[in-house]
Amino acid sequence: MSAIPEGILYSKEHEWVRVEQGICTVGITDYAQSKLGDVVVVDLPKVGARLEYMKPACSIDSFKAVSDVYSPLSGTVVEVNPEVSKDPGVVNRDPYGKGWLFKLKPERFEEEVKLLLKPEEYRRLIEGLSDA
Amino acid sequence: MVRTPLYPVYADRARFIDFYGWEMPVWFSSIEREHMAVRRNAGVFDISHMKRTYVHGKRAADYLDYLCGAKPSALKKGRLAYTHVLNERGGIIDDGIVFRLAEDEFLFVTNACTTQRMSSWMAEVAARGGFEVELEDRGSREAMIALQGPTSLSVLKEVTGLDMASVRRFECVPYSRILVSRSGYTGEDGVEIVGPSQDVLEVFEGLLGKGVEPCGLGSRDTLRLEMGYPLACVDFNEETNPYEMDAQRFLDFTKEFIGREALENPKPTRLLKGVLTDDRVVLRGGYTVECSPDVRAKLTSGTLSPVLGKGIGLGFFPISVEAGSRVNVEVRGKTYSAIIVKPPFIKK
Repeated sequence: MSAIPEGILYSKEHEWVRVEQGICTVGITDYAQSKLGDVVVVDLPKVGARLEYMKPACSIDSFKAVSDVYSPLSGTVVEVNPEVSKDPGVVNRDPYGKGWLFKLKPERFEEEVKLLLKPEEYRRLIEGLSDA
Repeated sequence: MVRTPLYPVYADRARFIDFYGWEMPVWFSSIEREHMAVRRNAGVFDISHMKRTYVHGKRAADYLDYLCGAKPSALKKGRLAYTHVLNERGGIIDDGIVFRLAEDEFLFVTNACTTQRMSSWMAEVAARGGFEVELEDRGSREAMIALQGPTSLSVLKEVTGLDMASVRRFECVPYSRILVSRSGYTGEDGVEIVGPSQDVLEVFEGLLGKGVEPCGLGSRDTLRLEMGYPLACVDFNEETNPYEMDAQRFLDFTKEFIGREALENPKPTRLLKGVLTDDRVVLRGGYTVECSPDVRAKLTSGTLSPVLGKGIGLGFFPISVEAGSRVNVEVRGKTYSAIIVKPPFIKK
């Protein structure tokens, strides 16, 4: 059973967003990391990069496949997590904590935040997937 | 999808993939953990999906000599040999291991991906040569496991009482109702065990009970890639001949075999080689390798080596691209520098 913490928002592509003082921290969900298996390489976006709503922001390699991480909001990257480059397995071990990927300053927060999922909505989404 | 007889043992503790119609574990805990368990201690794989054909008959040895690149008739009882099965053009239909069980009985273990092709080809070759052999597939009545890693022999002895220390590599011994061979596909010491499903299942559970790591096809792939072992249907197919994999030593020209004529005067223009990146990046089949501005090749398979922490891959390169050459690999729009190597990637 995948962990779906309260107090954060989710995307349909299995990213999570924590909003604090106008800055959004983004990572992948517990469900996503369990599906990927060992995360072995994380290719982070560059600080200053402009990301668009639900467009690829960076990629994650597991042994099995390479997967895009989509930006759940439009905005500018203000910080990336250097820990996940040094120790990609932290994304598996602590996806909602030390395994965060990047922080962005959103541009169209008010309109795009409405499109994200609340925890119970995300729970329903993954329960509808065959192997949650 | 088809399940192996061992599926009930791990039904609720593995992630599964569809492997050529088989519902197989891809990993249990983690591919990296399973990989390192095999390199350092021991891991066990369900390999019941592999095709096993028992060949019986007075002319079984002659038949296999004609079917295979190697010369199974030269094997003593209890010995194994790696071999190719070739088409008339010298292309590789499959590779596998032949076990000589008796004067007139052999076991041939081949790949899951070629099961149908091999069934019809083996029957066709038998009929064509009038060998009058019986080709027996025991299906789910039998199972097969691979116990691999430096502590394999001691844990096998603990679980079954069988001491394989005096059995040489590529030899097998019958033990109770199972057959145990000192062989594998990981580069580590270890054994492969084949026999009635219930007997193999009991050994499998006994090994797990002793803390042997259950391993899936994910680590089986990363382990074989570190050794540079080419994989049927992935790295080679019927358009590939053994010379292109530097595997001509497995051909025996002292006897007739299908494909022989085509292989007598080979002019290979390409050779399977390894690619090792400088940095930590995952290589995959299909990635392009630029050797020089006008020479490019595609990887047939690749991964991140858990031991080296670098990308490794296999691919066919023009003969002129020698080991030690610097190359660039294109990975999703980025370029990574790498070196051409003659596998294995790790020394065993």
